[in-house]
Amino acid sequence: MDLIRGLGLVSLLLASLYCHGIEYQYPFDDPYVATVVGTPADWHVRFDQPAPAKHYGLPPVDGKTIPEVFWYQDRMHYALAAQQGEAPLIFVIAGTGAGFDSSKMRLLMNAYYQAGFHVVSLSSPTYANFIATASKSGVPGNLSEDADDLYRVMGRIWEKHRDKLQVSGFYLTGYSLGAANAAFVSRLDEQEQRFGFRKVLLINPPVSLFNSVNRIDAMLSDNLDVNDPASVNKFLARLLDRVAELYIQSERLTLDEDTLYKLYQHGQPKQESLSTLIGMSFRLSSANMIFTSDVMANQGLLKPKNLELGSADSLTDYLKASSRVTFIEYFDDYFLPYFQRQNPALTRDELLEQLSLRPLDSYIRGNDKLAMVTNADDLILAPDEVDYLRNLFGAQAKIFPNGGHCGNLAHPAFVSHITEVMRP
Amino acid sequence: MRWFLKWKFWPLLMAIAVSGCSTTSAIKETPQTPAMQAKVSSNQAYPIDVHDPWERFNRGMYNFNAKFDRYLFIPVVDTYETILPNFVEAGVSNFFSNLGEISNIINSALQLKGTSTVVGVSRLALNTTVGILGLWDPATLIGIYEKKEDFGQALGYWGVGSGPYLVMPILGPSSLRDTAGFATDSLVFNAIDPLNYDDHSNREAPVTGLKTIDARHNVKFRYLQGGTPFEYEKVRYLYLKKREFDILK
Repeated sequence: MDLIRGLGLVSLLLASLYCHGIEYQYPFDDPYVATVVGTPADWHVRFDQPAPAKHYGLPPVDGKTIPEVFWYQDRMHYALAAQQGEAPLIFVIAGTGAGFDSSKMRLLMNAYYQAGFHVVSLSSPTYANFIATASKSGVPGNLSEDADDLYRVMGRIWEKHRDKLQVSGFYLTGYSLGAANAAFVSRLDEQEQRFGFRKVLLINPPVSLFNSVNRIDAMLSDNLDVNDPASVNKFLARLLDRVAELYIQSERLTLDEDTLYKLYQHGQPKQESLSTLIGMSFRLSSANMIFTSDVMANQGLLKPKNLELGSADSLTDYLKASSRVTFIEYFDDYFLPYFQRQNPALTRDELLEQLSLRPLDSYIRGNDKLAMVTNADDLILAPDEVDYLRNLFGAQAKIFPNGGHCGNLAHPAFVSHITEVMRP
Repeated sequence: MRWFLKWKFWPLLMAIAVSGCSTTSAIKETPQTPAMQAKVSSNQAYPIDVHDPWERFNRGMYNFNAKFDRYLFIPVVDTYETILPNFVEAGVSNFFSNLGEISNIINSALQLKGTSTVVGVSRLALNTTVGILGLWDPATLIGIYEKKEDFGQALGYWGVGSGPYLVMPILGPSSLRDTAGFATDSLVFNAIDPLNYDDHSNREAPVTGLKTIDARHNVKFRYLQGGTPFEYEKVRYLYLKKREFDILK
């Protein structure tokens, strides 16, 4: 009897595993480690073959002139991996500061291609190339304007390829900021009716951009005095020392996805250092965004207004200046004044409210079209924001116990989930 | 690489690179200095600051290299990769890497690095014989990994600083020291003349062409893909840091 009961239990267990898809065993319980290191090779999903991605470029959106200092930004770049024959098509939107070809975007492209989709990878509206070539205003971060820009780009891409692609239906996803972008694009499409998305998946979305970015910004400013170059120098020197040790000790150091993991194992960094690293990497990426935007919109935040930079002019001082701009400063000294000039009645709180998922609350709640996946320990979310997302998406929410911010993106269970959700 | 140093069009190319890409800033209206700029102080050392007195020339050359890459170099490399099967590409890489052992051996010896010198000699001997003139790399298979050494590193080992940052045409980021090192390595290679160009001068152009394509084929980096306006600064910083590490290694 015991044996039979035992067997029964085992088969139940197996069945439950089967129902859950692949077992989720992600190695890092520390969200800082997860966010920095990602998914090491031993836990990494494997694809039969890489998606046959081709890179394309669209001319800049109407009326945009590209200044000489950005001479190379003459096309809006994106990638397409096309299936043979008829298939659903999915648009994937990158996270803050990331391009269409970043490693996370390549992972998502491979995942959806293997699941049978035509895949179009789009840069984030905060990516320099997108700001220069595809943003009407040149000032990124306003979710409904970014949705207009993205929607226009998606339409142009579809026009360009529609003759050669057999599409059975449209899908949409994005990670991090790209997830929030996807939700706004989805709502825009309800009015415009161009694609009629069957399913829209938000991967590790922020609830409030302002809160999320402030959390990341604090990781830098809590640990380091950015206004004191000596302290930045010291941190960088320590980091580079670790890299150098690893480089000098190892017979062969090939830079690949696992380099960070090796570095992590070698250096055993404190949480404080990891946190600083995340903040610093974010700050460098926001420096790209802020300077590009300032040049394109001629707002005079960093570059003197009306000064035309040449292609051989030094930008080193602009890099120094823009990497010191905190998010609050960007918001209060640049973003808010820009939108208040267009609409003097706009208050700070109203703008803050617009930069979040909350304006979409009634659109998302109870709507089976939109699904969401995140991690309970995602660094860009406060605990009450995780609860808000769980509540907002209801049955369409999936929350993994760990993984930090997009750290488990390449885990087989995560990949299996994000593709299963999209099954036509 | 002799054509590289002697090529008569260099002055012309340099002129294009510098004049064509380095138009000075035109100011339409009086620019106002923004408040943010005042935050940058000139009397502090920033990590990103390096000795780059020829920055305007270097940026012109960087842009030239990016255009050369985009319109000529990468299309040629793409064609090369499309036409040839991977094992042939690997064979070509092994062949040139094996020739590079000559420079590794000499420069290891100059730095009194016994192990590296022995490794270089063993690799050269094994790969030239068992590896069929270097087309195959059995040395790596049995765990004797290449130790790259060049004359720039040897100079660095003996205390020569990098000198000003310098962007070389086509070859890209370098420094005054490393450019001098590169020139010396090329001269030494020509003096040893392992491919016997002296008797077969018709070999030199195609071999050098193939070597150049193979070198680009092995570097994944693509110029100015549009993610950052500060690529020049970042590449400059990383290049000089990596060279510091190379010299310590």
